[in-house]
Amino acid sequence: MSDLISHISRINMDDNYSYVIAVFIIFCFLILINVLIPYLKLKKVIKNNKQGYLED
Amino acid sequence: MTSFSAIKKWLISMGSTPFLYKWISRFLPILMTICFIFLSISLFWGLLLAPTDYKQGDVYRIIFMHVPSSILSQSIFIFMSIVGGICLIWRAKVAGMLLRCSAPIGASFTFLALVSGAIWGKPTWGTWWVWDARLTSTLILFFIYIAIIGIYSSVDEKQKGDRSAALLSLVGVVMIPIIKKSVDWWQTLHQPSTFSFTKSPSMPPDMYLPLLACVLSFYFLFVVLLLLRLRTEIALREDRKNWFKREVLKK
Repeated sequence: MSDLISHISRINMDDNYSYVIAVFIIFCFLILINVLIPYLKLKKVIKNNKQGYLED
Repeated sequence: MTSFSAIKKWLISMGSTPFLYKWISRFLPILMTICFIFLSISLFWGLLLAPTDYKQGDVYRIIFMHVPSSILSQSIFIFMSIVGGICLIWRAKVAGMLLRCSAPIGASFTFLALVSGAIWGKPTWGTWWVWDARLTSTLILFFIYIAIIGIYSSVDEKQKGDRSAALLSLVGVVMIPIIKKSVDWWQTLHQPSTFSFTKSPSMPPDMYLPLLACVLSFYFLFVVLLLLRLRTEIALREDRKNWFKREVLKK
């Protein structure tokens, strides 16, 4: 574990690494959108239909 | 022979939307967990454990997101043209749904490939963007994805939208060999392809293996995102069916 931490700490966190972090944040944001949109849409469809079926 | 017939039977049953919906609902949480673990390990390996490049420094680590998203942007379009062909020839309902669900995911990965390339270009090329053959052809691919999404938004009738999008995906697939070969056919600022079936990798295994892991985990991620969207698409299209009513009331 200590080897791993010392290896990571050797990474030169200079200005250029911020470009990598920027890409990673964009990647996470895109994944989040692609997961949340269909999930919330499905929840809405199920909720609306359930209400409709119960009213019937 | 028995296993082959079992696979055939399974594939045929996958054409049934109730079966597919139930199958996705059952296996998606497991697949999502495995995908999250696999993706985290491969990105951790690439972004933190892989050695630093002697020339570019740590900024080269963008490769671990840029190359998989570029490969995926092209692979998804090929997949879309195949399901588009199936949709046009056999009028398969699930093929149309797969086509619709793939388009936003493909657009997202193409967007990531373009943006990550631009961000990588700034410290290495000194510019965010050049009208290079590889970059321009990828931008055109992104516009084709947007056009397919636009078709679905503008056409109310689902089957009509499927057929129009299928036709565009079949026409647009011509862009894939152009993108792939753009670095060989034209003088470009972009480097040649990282992955090749005919040549051995130019990168050392310490960098190549995490890259390979990232590519595989991105493919896995695509499958998970596709299944997630497909389940919602089935629910949207089949919400008047009795099987869906039973499924909803069960919860």
